[in-house]
Amino acid sequence: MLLALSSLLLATVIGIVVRLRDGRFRATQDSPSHPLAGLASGRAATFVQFSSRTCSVCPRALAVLHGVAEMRPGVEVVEICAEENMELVRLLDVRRSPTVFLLDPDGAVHARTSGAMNTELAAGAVDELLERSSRVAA
Amino acid sequence: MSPLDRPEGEPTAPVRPAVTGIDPRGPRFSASVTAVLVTVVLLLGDTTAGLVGLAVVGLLFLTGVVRGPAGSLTGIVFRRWVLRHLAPTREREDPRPPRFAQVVGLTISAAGVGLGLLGVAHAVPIAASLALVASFLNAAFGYCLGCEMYLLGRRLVTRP
Repeated sequence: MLLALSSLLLATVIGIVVRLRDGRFRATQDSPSHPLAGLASGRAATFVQFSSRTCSVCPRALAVLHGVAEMRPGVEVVEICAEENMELVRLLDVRRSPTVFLLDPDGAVHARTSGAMNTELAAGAVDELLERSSRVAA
Repeated sequence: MSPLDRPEGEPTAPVRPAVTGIDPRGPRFSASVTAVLVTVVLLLGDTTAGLVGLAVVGLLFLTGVVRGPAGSLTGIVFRRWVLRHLAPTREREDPRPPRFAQVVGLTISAAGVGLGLLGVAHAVPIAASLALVASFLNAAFGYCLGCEMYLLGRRLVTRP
């Protein structure tokens, strides 16, 4: 009885924490080598999504990012396969799929997130990057 | 070619419309059934009845591993008797991730049953509570713990 209740309680807490964190972009300290720089094809920003074959959330997350790219000119989306890029996965400490990096036009990582994507949060992260770029330019 | 098979760095094609695959509500229905069954196993405690119950859960997982989530026993029940009560959806998901989750479920329940048969105390309730956490997360939140473990597992296995 106790074990059943505590398992359900634990699952509920995990579920709520995951739901609160999913898709929320966090600013990152980029490593100086910019390991994803070669993927920065967007004039304004690039989303790089690490997907894996066992990931059921990944296709929908990618569709959300493509939707944001349509709303914001100069934003590109790149999907890479985590299993085939294990060195990058380790270097960037990718723990789950999808993990999404937001790159500035130079290829430096501006922010990262993981899990299910949310259009407003992803567009907000792009806007913040654009705002920062225009401040730097001014 | 699936987008995952493309070499690194190549630009992505437009997202394919989701027309193939299975109804994502099927695996969630299966997870709900699993959650109810393992709750019963937990209430039975460290008994022979609990061991048999966990073995039944394991057999359900086995049908999902062998035949895929749509062909599993609960998957068939979903299509025959549950689907008609639900609104139609165009949403489809790749059956491979939920199938992988069935492998994880089978591994956990088989370990519980095996250790229980060897006389290891609390093996069945511990395995059942792990299965309950995972299946409840899937049923209630649509969050697939087994799928999440895949990448971390790969990182451990392919340690340089």
